[in-house]
Amino acid sequence: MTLEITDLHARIEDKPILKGINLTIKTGEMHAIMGPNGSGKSTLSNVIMGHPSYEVTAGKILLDGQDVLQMETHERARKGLFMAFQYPVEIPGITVGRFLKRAVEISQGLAPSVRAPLPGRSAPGSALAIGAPTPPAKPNARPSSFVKELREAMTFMEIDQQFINRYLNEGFSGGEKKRMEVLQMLLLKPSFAILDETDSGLDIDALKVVSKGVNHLRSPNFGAIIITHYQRLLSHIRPDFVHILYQGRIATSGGEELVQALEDKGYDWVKKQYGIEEESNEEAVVLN
Amino acid sequence: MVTKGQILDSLRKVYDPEIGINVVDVGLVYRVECFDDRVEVDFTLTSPGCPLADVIESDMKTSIRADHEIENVITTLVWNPPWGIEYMSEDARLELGYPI
Repeated sequence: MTLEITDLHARIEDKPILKGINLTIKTGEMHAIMGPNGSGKSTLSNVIMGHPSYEVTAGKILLDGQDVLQMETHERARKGLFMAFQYPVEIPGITVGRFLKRAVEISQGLAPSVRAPLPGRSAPGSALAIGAPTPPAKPNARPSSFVKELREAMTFMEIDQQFINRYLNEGFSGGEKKRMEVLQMLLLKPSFAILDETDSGLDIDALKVVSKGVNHLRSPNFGAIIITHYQRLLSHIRPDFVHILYQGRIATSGGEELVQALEDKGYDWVKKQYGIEEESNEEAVVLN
Repeated sequence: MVTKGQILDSLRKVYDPEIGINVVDVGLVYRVECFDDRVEVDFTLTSPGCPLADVIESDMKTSIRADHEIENVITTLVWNPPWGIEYMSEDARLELGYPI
């Protein structure tokens, strides 16, 4: 599959953030996006997933030619887009196990396993996807296998099995929340995943586990956008392409060597090298 | 001869109308035994006096007969041991929000 972003402009309230992003990602590729605070990294992730606070003012996002910007967020998710949040939300009242079971069933278009297909009831996911036409659910014929898969994935991500019964992210440490994001990704098996600073706030052990999860999905059917400030994540998840985002545009793209150059010389180098003018004093303060 | 697994697959299409989950995952099926000429199924209900016993029993027979070339399906309602939540499969418990 191909995710194609063309001349993307977006703003939040009246403040333009993205000013012409061009980026094409194919499954099988790992793209790293680096850039200083305020350069638009998180905005790009949020716009790809359809966060309502951002307004796209120009440009296109196509997923295999389909207009992503016309889709609701849950439709984007069902088409195979996934985002690991920078700040995962706590959802009291819904256990990790129940949440993941239903999310996986919905993403596969399956009726809830073990449950009777109720006549007159709309397709599964209607609770999550209000007002959206959903294809009728396929009967879920597989025997009770989800829990086994869940337990295996949790073991792989070094998450205690007791977390199955805990409310999603409630009272989890920063590292536990990030592992939980990657666990969701492992089970949902998206075509494209965006990891929005998934490495922030992680100690080295948690970083390794998170990287292991991402690397596990590496395949010709999986692509990722890894947003990070730090070189250290990219030494665990080696990107095929590196893009440097600056003032809402991709200033330059390259391979892994860019990461080292950035680490050595800082963002001032990018600014000088690519002749970027500061747009205003206000922005300069943000960049420092 | 039909296997126990095949019979259980047929029984997974039978739902406890009260909780909407199939009788195998609810843990109502206590014994399945297959013979050349018959299939025997022991089952229970979540509570004594459940008014749906007849419905569940006939659904089980219908489902087994529909899937296999067996006429002789002997179902027996048993009360020992009494059913408990711990008899539910993990998937069923997740579905209903019980801890696993």
